[in-house]
Amino acid sequence: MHKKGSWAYPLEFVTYVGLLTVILVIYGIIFFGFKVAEPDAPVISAKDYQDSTTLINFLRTPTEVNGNKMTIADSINLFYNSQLSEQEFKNLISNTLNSLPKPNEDSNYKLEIGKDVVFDKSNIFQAEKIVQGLYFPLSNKKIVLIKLSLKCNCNEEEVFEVA
Amino acid sequence: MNKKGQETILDFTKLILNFGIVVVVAIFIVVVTISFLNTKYDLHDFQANLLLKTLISSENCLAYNDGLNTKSGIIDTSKFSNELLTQCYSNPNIGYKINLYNAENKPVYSSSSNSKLNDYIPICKSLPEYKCSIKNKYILYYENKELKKGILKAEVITVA
Repeated sequence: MHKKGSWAYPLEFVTYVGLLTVILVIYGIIFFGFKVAEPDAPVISAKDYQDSTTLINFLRTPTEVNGNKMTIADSINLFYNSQLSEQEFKNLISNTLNSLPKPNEDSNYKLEIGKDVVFDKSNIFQAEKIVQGLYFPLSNKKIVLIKLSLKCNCNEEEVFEVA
Repeated sequence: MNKKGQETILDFTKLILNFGIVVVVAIFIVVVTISFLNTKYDLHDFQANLLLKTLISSENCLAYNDGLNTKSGIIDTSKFSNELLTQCYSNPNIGYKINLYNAENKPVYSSSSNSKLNDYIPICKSLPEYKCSIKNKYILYYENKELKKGILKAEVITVA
């Protein structure tokens, strides 16, 4: 082809310039015309700054077991030390889970205490939206991971309401 | 024209073409950068979350203090007053109303900041220059020295 210094070199160079211009024009149209890389107002998602306050308050919720006032956290400890029946424990947890604010009627909270105890009324079509977790020390010196998650078919706006 | 003259014209043409390319690419990069820098961010969600976290966590707002520690997430109902709320969290670009609902979902306490923006909350959806949202937070509160469960509902309006 035309080497540097030959008469035709600038002509070949012009075609490259033309190609570059076409590419820039196409990218310009995509960027500014269709606003592909320029959203109107980026939103910081509620998921990005959620904490575990709902789960902490859930565990601090006052309740009554056999006439004794205690917290949900205390009842978990009693259950793990076999001092509370499974049925009574399930009723306590289910009632308190129902008190948590939900984005809509079909939403459910799933609570996992360790690997074995799971409270979950959701179906497989409901997506996990908010997940909060903490390690809970028991009086028998064992530690269980408690996870609370919201499962629903809801949009970001609805999740934001309860996040 | 001699050979040296031809080479000078060739070099000059090449210089102009290279300069042209640099200018075109530089303009493109500058325009794209300015476009990104001028992007407006929607901070409503962030402001609403920050407000709610401050309300339930700060002793100067609604958080309960037992004399030793401030209990984040536990509300002191004696702190429900418009003046206290305005002192604890106010900003010319934000207005809010809060309602505390008990376990039976009945409103038991309510308060709001002293902001003129609060007047626009009921008609917020029809005003494009404002953005509104509702946030519900599961909290605990002391009433007659007894700890109870409830939901703090906050209606927040910000300038878009």
